[in-house]
Amino acid sequence: MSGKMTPGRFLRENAVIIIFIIITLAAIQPSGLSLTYIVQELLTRLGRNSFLVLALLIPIYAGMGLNFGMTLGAMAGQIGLIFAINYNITGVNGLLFAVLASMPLAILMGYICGVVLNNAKGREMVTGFILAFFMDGIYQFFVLYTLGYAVPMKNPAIVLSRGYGIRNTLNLDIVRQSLDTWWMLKIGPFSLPMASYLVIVVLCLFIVWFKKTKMGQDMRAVGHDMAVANSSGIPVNRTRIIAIIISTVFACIGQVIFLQNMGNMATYGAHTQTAFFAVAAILVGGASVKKASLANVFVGVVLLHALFVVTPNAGQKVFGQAMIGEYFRQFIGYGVIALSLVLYAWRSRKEAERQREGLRGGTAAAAQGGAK
Amino acid sequence: MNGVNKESKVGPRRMLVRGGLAVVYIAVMVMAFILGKGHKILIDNKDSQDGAIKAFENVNVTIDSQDPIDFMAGDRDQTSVRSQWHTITIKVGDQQPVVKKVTLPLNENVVLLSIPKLMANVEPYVVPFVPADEPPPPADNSGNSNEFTSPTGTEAPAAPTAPAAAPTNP
Amino acid sequence: MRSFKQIVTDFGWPRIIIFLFLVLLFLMPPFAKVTGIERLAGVASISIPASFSDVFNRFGQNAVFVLALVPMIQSGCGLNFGLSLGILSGLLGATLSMQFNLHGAAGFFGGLVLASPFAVLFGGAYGMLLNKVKGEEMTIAMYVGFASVFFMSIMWLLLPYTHPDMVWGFAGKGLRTTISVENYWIHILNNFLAIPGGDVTLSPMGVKTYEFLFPTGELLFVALTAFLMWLFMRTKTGTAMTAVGSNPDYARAGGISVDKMRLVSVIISTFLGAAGILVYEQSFGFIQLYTAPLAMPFSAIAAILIGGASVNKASMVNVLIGTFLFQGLLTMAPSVINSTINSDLSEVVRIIVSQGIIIYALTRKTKVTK
Repeated sequence: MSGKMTPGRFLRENAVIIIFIIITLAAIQPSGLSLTYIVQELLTRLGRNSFLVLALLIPIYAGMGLNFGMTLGAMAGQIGLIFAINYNITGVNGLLFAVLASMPLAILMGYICGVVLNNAKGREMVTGFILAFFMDGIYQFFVLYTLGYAVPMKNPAIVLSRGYGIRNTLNLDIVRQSLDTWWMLKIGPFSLPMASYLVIVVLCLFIVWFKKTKMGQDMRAVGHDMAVANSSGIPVNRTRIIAIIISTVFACIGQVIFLQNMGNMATYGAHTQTAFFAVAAILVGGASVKKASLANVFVGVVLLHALFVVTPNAGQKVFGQAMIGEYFRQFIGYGVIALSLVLYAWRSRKEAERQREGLRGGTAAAAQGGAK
Repeated sequence: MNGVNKESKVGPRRMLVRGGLAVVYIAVMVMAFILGKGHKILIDNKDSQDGAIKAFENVNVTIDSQDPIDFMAGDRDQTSVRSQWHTITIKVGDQQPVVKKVTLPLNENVVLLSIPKLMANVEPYVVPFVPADEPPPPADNSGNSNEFTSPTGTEAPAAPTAPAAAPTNP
Repeated sequence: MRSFKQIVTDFGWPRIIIFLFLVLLFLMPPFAKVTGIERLAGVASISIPASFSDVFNRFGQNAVFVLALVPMIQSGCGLNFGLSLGILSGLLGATLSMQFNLHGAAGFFGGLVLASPFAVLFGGAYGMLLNKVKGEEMTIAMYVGFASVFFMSIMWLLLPYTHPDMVWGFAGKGLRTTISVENYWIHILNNFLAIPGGDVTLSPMGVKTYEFLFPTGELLFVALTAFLMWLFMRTKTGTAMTAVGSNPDYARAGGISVDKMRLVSVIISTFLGAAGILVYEQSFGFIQLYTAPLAMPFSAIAAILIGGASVNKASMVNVLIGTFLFQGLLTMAPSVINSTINSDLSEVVRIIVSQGIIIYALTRKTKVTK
């Protein structure tokens, strides 16, 4: 971000954020929601979603783009929760059990994902996306056909009436908001789920620390240029796999945190949108495929969810149909991902062109190219 | 390549640390399981099967620090507790309260606790609960309907309910 | 002389396995239990003629979609995950044709004509966008496709359609999720010169249904489209397009406008997507709106990849073989699996097979490195 910051350039670089703020501000009035309500919703959603979004950071550092394969971790987390509910493990202990029980699975999933993505260098994002669909098939097979059939289930309330397979909706009452309410700070009209925030802060500290370790430095090098990293003795493929494993494990924990706040779980649907919302959030926050920071995560969660809170009501009020708000928020989510990817691809292409010109033309152009 | 070499040079000290971590990992998981395990206790104040132990006329039971529950002869009530070990305070009629320590079987979600047997110290006063005739769980076939590769899951907008029957894909 | 091994490598192991699996599925029905399928498919048992009829029908239903992917693969734009844009134009055409009360062949071809301007418009904009993001086409295409599906979902609710067969009865506005084309142009292609066979059942309404029905018209339409595409690929524009895909720098040196060729390929792909959904609807009998187009590009992509196409090379043979194998698998696998192990695994099998093959293609080392 060196060089002169002209208003035009500022607008271009923050186009997504600006569009978001404008739409949200425009929608607050017609939605008829009170400011207190919106702020409380945002405080809750920060605790609920930030962890999942943070899980995206490390693969970005490693130059693997947005990890759409984080869905795999979410699935692992859900399997952990299914077992916690099955054994009737309550409260924070239930969450802890779910996380610990599913972590080996998450590591395995992350490993698989990493190996697959190493075979698809240059198209990690689309491959990760399809891999999530593929694993969704395996997940359905596992949860819908083997649980209660090959794997005995103790709790008949969660099993389908046919005797095997988990019900469509899982009631998480026994762990519902156990983390959030563990330490709930009341400030004025707002309640802050401090325990959830604490977990998120710990993760942030971990990421900051991790970036400084040898492994973190290697990841940056791999993300910058794989060929250079390889020639300087960094095991590129292994480093990339580790980045994905870490991300998958975080996604697994993040999904458990997300679901404990929601209080129930759509067994066959909860994970399908995990990556979508996380990716949309980090992009809205100003991250790109190659560059992201902790600030992007939190700005993104706030902006994206502010929009999600107000649009259904605004759609209802303006058009008389709640469905429009629902479709609109999906449209905005996918649209924003498309827009950010387009802007990024467009910008990096222009930069490549500028650099090429810089090599050809004299020093003036080179200086311009080097400014970035 | 280098990573592979490094991997093979794992010294005994490192192995020990890894093994220790694995043990701690499993220990924490087991702890979470034991401490978090929820049990539903069905509290009984009934005559025993053979009739040897009679139910109390009127008894007041307090589990841990929950609200006390009053029982007449033949009553049954239920409460939910967390973890295995519980202190039960029983007050029969106007007598002095008796404090009993009870350990629940770990791997049972629902147990039956007989107050008369507990007071008489007759094993087993805690038994796994087996429903006499299990009521069928409510029908739920929803697990079968999974949209093919649907990118729209939970937050997917439900389509407006169609008045005409929607066709299924051939 | 090519050795047997060479041929096998060219054809690819996954395809051989899927082909053998499909043959196995066709051989299995006589041994399969009858009980499960009776409930699921509503037929007495898995009859081989009915299965073949089904496979042919579904082949015709989907082949045009798969064909639509070819131009973009050839011009180097990769797999068209944004085929939904074409599908949406086709849906616009279909609903407009119904709104104008066009019946029969006029309805179907009217729909096609009405869809064309949208296809050109959407395809043009989409193509120009993809030209700006070379190298990232597939990921962006996917999200552009998703976003437009939801944008159109809003439009289906807001556009001023009035035809009573299409809008919600109680509100009088907003299109229904599924619209029957039964009284308009159902089976307009399928029944053209159709060859019936097998047992005849007479429904209470007096409509005859045949155990086996060869959808001649539909297959003719597919053959015609494929032939035209084949022809087009051999014209000057077609070869230029392939040149752009295989080596852009070389093509540019030869005086071909890379961006223009790519744009043309995207527009053709989008138009074929529109035609594809019309063919699909006339056979399926319903127009499906709202979120229905989301998943459609994925099955088409899976099909062409099964057929042997890669991310940057595809031919008519890939299209035809791929569609046949994929649709054959989707038709046969669920019914056979359901009746043998008596469990509704069809959706799961569908997901695993189709997504698995896409991953296989994406992870295969390609000769042309970017």
